[in-house]
Amino acid sequence: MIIILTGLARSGKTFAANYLKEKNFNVLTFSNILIKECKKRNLEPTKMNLSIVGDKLRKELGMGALGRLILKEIKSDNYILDGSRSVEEIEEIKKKYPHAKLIFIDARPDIRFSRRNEKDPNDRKVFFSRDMIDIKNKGLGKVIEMSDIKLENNGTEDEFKNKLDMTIENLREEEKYSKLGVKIGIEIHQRLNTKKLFCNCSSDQKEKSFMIVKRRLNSSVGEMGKVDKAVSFETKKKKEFIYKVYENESCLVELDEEPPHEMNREALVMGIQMCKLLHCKIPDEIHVMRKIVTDGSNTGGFQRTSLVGLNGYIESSLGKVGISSICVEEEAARIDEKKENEIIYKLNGLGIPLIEIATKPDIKTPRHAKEVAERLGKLLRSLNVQRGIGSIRQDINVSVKGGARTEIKGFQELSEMEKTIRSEIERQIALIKIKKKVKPFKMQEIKNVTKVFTNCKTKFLQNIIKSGGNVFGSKLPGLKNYLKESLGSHTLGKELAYYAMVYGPKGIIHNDEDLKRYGLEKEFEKLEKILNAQKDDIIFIVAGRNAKIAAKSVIKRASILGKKIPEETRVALKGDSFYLRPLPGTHRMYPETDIPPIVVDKNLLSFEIPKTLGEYEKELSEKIGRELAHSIVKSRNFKRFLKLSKNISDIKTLSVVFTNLFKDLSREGYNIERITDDDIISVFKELKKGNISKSVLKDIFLEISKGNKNFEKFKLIKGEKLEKIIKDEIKSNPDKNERTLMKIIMKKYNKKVDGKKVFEIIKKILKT
Amino acid sequence: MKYSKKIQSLISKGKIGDEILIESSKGTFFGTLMPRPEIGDKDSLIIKLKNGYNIGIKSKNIRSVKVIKKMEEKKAIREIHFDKSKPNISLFVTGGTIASKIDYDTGAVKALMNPQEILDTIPELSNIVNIADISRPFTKMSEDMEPNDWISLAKGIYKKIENGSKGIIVTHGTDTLHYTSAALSFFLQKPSVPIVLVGAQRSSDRPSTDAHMNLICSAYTSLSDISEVGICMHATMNDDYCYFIRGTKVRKMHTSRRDAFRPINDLPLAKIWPNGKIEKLQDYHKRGGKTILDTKFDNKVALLKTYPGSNPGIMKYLIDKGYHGFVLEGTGLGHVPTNSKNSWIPIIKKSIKDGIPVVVTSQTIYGRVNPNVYTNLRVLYHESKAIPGEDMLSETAYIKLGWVLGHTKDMDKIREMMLTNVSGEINSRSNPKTFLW
Repeated sequence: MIIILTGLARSGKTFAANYLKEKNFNVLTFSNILIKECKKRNLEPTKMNLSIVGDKLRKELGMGALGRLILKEIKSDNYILDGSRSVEEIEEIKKKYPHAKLIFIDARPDIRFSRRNEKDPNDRKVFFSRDMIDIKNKGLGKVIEMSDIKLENNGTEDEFKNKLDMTIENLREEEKYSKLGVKIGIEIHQRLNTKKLFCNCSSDQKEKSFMIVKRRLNSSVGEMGKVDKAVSFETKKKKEFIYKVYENESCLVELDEEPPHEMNREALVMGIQMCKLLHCKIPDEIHVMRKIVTDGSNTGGFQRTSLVGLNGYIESSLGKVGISSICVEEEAARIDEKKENEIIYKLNGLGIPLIEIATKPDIKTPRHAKEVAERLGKLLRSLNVQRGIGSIRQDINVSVKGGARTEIKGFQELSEMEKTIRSEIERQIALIKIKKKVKPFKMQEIKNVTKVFTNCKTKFLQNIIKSGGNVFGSKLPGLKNYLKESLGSHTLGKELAYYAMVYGPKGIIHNDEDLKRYGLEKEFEKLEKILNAQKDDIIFIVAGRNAKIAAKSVIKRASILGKKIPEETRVALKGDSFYLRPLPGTHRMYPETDIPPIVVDKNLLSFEIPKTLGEYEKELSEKIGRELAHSIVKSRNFKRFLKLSKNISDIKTLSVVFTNLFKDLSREGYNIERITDDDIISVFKELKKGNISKSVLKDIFLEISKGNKNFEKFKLIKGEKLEKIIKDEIKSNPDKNERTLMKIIMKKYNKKVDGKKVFEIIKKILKT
Repeated sequence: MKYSKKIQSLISKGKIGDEILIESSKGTFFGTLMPRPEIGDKDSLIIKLKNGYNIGIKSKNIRSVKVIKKMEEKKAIREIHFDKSKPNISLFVTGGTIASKIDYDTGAVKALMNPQEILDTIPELSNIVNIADISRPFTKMSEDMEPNDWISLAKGIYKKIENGSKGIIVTHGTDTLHYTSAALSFFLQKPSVPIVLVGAQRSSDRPSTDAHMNLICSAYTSLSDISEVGICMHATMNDDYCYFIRGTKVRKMHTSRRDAFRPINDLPLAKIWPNGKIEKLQDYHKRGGKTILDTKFDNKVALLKTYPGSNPGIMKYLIDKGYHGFVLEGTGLGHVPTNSKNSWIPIIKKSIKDGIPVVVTSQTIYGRVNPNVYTNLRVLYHESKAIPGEDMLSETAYIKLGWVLGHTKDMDKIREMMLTNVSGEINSRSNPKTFLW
């Protein structure tokens, strides 16, 4: 790995180089190259001479001279090159090492000034005037612009070391994955905390349903006269959809019984704000589209979606990641229950506004994917978004060289993402190997073989046959033994089974499995004859509902194992993923004619970018400390914190209340929902007046959570009353010293007295 | 194309549907050139990007537009082959949502110009009937229809029945569907085969369209022995079954719901399931016999509504314009302002005296007009001789009066005909089950 370091004076380049030297990197500095050249020419390496030699070299060898010279010194691919200052030098290096990374180390001016050493000017003005010379005259500005990675060094040495470790680890991983040709993109869906996107229903999802409506969907021809693959796949499954209807959380719009209203302005504005945060270009006119979705999750058979921004980027530890699009769209209805012939959906989720952010396939590694997802999530939380389970979802797109673009949906946790991507990369690599070994074949005949199994020992087959179901059998020519092969996290046999399972059956049974487990050896012998199978053929059966279509789906997939790896949508499951449906094309989009195009005018563009959580965190760090700032910004109560911080000056204590204290109470089973903003304000008023101590905050909020808002009993004993108590205690314990008295009083009155005050008074009384 | 001149010159030889490359200050875009809807900014060029989204880019932000690939010819719509062994029926296509698709000129929904396209979206129809012929007497959104359209439709249908059609299906816009159904009920009496009118509240281009089930149920109805003129559409918000409702007793009761058509003062004729099951809910005219074609119609009839503060001068104005009859949609049991400053009584009296009939129905929609209960009613019906419209719908009464006036101008005869049930428009009993059905 070749790493070039750049940055302004005292940003930490040398520190980084020295640290990485410990990590077995070789270090070369550009100034050492110059010094060497000076020595060659028998010149003292004074500042003047260095500059003269530098200019001479550039004249003789071109602007990238130092780059060329340093290249001669590189003897392995494990080098740190410190202190490059010209674009040409870097270009020379990248010519030979295209994967070399340019890291820009950035530190705030005041911090850099504080790190100055004896050689540096002590005068601020002189110190910073060097920056301007470096940036403008010496071309450092352009070098910074072309950097691959930006590392901030404003914290402690340990923090910076950690960052360096992370970066190196990430780069090592990137190197590994780039050899495999891995490309990863993420799609994030975030629910917004507004009314619904195309009607005025509540997005709360708290109500109970009061009626149901039953529907069916038909596939229709798209704008371009073609039916989308994914669409006809869903219609093949022919299901009835049942929608649970809600009084305040759904209306005739969700029921597809009334045309949509205009787009919710607040949601649209947030979409535009997100575009600004991610440096996206905003079209001059936004068109609401219908994206055909016939799985029933949208009553109309389409999801309304609109592209509000494109071609942006987000910074990450491995450089910029492109943002291909930002959309504002409707949430789909969630499944309540799935039955054999019907799916029950809840209409209260349908139509909740979502911001969808799709990155370009610029993400380098599984870990990088998680990082980018987290960064995007944090930016989104700067807007008025919903929090909690299901309010944010990530889908990923993965491909390896020679593989195919695969979309994986349905992550329950962000932590699952890394593992799932790794499994998917393994799966594609395994499939590429299999592709080279097996031959494609034609569609095979599917036979109804129910009779063979009427007396079989397998219970679930018996049950299916008894209830009138059928068993279908067929073969996969030339695939014997291949179904045992591992695709990383599961076998090819299990992979194929999912192509059947999406149509309803529970799986397939094939002769690469141990048939004794099912007690089906004899039946499969019979099948061999019926299906006229050869030795190297797989024979398999599928039973139950839609078994014939399911069998066809398995054969279709297996038949192209030797030909190509199909693009598909998969569903994540415990770090692995399984087939869900073919990857949808673009044919399923056509204009939503019920909503006129939205002209993006000055008014719409005038909304300011909200302060990001990152910015809040930085700002708060200075006031309440880094750790507390981090946890309050991450907290679900952050919006509330911001609101209350206008009335409460002790924000440090406020953030402790919202993070640790509330967390504890809710863990202990108390209903913190009952604590209102007014409650918190009045408690803090008492705190400010000195009427209560911080140590009783938890007890007070615990009482409030139980509905008891009177906290008179927690008030501190003060003034004359306090003095009297202490006098009495001294009287009844005449021979005790200050410390013992203190212990006695504190034990007796605990949180109701201020220890400091008590000690003061004891001292005062004993003195007199 | 409705694009601005600037956009047109940027596109130059490019045509809608071509693949284009736009160089702009917002980036480089590759996609398909889309037509400009009339709404929105005509100085924005619309491109369908490869990810399927349409976006608009203003001309001032565009540096160049290059045509990369000319549009491929669209594949012809697949041919649908009907099963000749199924019974022959005739399909009349008149327009409306059911026969509509996206219109890229206006950005709105537009009528299908090729009737075949309907069948393309509902191939299951070929399992039920053999659509022997498709007629398109006119293509109109239903709000644009006029009495002459009803006449030409009735004549067209009569011809098909005479030629041996086993059933008739008429696709129609929903706004005035119940006017057409009432008109056809008087123009085609005792039809020998079912005449089924059908519309859709959700356009056929969407997967959730109600056209699908409505048409399938209509096909089954057209083959049934319920030989009446009626409307066959969704009975509930569910996609479970349709109602076939008598053409004179049906009204559009909701702007957008798919179960908007309800029977008024009547039960539906039948429930029709999309699997062909039919449950009959009341007596009906049976298949067979000879259809009576009677399209005599006087279209100088007006339907007016009285309300607090309404000005009876409107009636005088129309009489001066040569109108021959009025249906007044009164209040409650069939009142019109009687003793107020704006009393309608004098003009009604004068009108009837001059041989211009006045029929009164009620804007309560449900229930029957009564000529006797209150004094003011007696003034209206007994003194002034207005004709109480029984339990007829205002719309039906309006069409019936035009039809009656097509036959006679004799006031007694008019009164007699208006009060005699011709095509199920008057029920002598008020069935308690029928309210808010």
